[in-house]
Amino acid sequence: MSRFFQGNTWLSKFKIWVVYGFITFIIAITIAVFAIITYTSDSSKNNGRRVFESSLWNALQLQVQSYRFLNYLVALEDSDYPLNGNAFFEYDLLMSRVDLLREGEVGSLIRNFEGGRTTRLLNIINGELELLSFNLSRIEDGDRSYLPDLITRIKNIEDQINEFVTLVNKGSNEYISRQHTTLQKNLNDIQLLSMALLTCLLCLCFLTIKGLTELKNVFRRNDNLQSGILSVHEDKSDMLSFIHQEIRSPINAILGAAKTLKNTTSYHDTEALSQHIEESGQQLLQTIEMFSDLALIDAKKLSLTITTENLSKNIHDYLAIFEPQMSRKSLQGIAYIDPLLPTNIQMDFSRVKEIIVALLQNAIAHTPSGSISLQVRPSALNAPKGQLPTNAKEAKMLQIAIRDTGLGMPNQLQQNLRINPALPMQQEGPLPSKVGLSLALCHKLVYLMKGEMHFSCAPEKGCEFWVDLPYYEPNDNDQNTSPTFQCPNKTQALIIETDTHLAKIIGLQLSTFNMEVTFSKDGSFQEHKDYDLIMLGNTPRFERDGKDAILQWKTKSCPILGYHPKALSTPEYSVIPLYFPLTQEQLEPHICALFSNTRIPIKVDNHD
Amino acid sequence: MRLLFPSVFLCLIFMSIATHASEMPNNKTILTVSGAISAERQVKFDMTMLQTLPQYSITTHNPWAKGLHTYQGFSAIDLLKRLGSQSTLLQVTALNDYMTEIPVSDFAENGAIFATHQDGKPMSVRNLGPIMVIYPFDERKELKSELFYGRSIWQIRHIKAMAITE
Repeated sequence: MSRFFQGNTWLSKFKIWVVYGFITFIIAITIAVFAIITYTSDSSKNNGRRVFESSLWNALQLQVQSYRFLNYLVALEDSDYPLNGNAFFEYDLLMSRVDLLREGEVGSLIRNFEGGRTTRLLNIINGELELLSFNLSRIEDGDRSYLPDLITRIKNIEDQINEFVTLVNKGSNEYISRQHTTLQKNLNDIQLLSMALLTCLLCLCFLTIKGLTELKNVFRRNDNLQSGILSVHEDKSDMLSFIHQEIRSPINAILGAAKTLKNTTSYHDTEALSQHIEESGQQLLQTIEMFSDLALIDAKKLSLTITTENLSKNIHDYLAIFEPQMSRKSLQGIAYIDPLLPTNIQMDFSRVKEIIVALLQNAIAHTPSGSISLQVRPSALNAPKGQLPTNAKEAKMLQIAIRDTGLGMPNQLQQNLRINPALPMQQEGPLPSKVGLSLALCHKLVYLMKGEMHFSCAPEKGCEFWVDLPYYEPNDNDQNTSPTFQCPNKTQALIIETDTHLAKIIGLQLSTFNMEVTFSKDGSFQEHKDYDLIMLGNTPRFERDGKDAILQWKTKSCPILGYHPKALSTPEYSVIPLYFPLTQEQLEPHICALFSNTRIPIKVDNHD
Repeated sequence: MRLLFPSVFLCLIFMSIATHASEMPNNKTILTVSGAISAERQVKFDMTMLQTLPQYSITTHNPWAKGLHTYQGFSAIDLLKRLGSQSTLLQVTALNDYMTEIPVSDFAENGAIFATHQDGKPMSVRNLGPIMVIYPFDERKELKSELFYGRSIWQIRHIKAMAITE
């Protein structure tokens, strides 16, 4: 039984002792009830009434028999002689009554009546009657002279017999009254004990029901734990399979390159293979670190390291990591940092990097062509309340948005990514085997940092992830500003770009330099209009109209910034080249150089 | 000759019945039986006659005598059988004219007897004799009740056999 209450404190022990106490109490009461019932129902006690009646009856019979004996003697006539033992027969009848009163249960009972007076009186009667036997024997022999004396002596005993009967009657009444009182007391005791027994049984029933309920809960918990253990084992097995799958390809790459390296004599090949081994090794190391971080997060042992760093620089560095990869796929990366954000902020930048890297990897994987943007802007969400780190002024939220123009993610992947660990049933988060290692880690990290992750996805149109993360603003607010070059008012810029996503981000970038932006979404050059700056991007019309348009702009001394490959490959077009990933940092020197005669540095208020 | 054997057989039967019916006590009569019996109005018995009936003994305690005693006597079943009675109820009268009724079934089912001897000795009038109804109280606890104690009549002098028809 003690197992039912295991895991609790002193209350459980108290419950156990209460149950034991109840059981002991019930046993004791049951024994007492049965003992009293047995005692009360004992046959000798049951005979109390009969013995009482017998004692009274026999006393009266003694009196009656004495009268009969007297009558017999008085009625004797001469013709009756010889008596032939009849006198002794009558005498024996009388004496049998005396014997009955002196012996057996009746004798035992009346012995105690009136403090032994009845016994003394009966002994006197017996003695007197015994003395009559001599006279009787003489009468039996025919000597009638003894008869008068005999009759007188019997009459003398009458008073004593009468007193004896009275005492027996009185004693019997007292005896039966005592018997009734004892019986009533026993009945009262039985009633009381029965009520106590009933109460204890009810309490025991209650405790039993409660115990059974707890037992049921324990069994249910046990079942849940069993299924949980099974699930953990399955997860472990899945995780090991996944780890095997993840590390298999870099290890195979290293082994393959090493094997090839053994048989290679060319310096160029050796260098390429060495680099390949190094990259694969780095990838393997990164994979192992991600697994380690996931394990730490699951064990709730991953702690965040908050540092104060330049936000813009870090973001651009993270984007730059993927420059070779995006170049290989001809993807155009672009970053936009909202000038309202402080220059330096406090965050765990290594974890932010892991999040951005994971999201960019996912974007690149699902985007065969087009553009990928990375935006960082203030979030509309409130920062979670908590203790601020050292040198932090206040907590705020920023939003990192990564958008691509790819194919969109498969529905199953989207489904798995929509898990919210803040909900009770989804605390485990998405499994790495379902969403991939980097996205799983990213998801867990976001929620570990008390942030949120949302995304929107449309087939053939691409995906956009929004990650809201808290950051802390350092105390040195005066130095934490971003002086951005500002063009003169009404500076007009035309963005010729058919990729509306890319054009939009470029527009945002130019807006930070106080430019009024016009989009040419269809790729038309609009050379007849006057602009202060042309941003020449992707347009299918370049082959046909590009040259004329550029000449027209040159005539108007309108500067051209561009990243159109053909425009850049023609030096006479004098297009100022831009490279991906395109950032505000890359644009600012060019804008500054072009419009420097009216340079107006401004101070951005990072509070609002 | 053919009628000789049946005639002799019938004579023997009549003689046997006549012997029982006309048997008279040689000693002092201690019991008189009357009522629904096949013989004359009443039949008297002395101790010798009662001794000829099958004897039974009961060893038991009882409320009227101290200690354990062995009682010996006859059963009412045998008595009634000898008297050719089909009675079901006995009205028993004592020397002091106390009277009680005892169902015959008590002798068949509850093992009661008419005791004439206590511990091998004839029971005197002073010792609740000469005849006393005794039940095996120690053997069967249910007999220790007022009902059976009331039927345990002593100093019996007369038995009236009654046939109760339901």
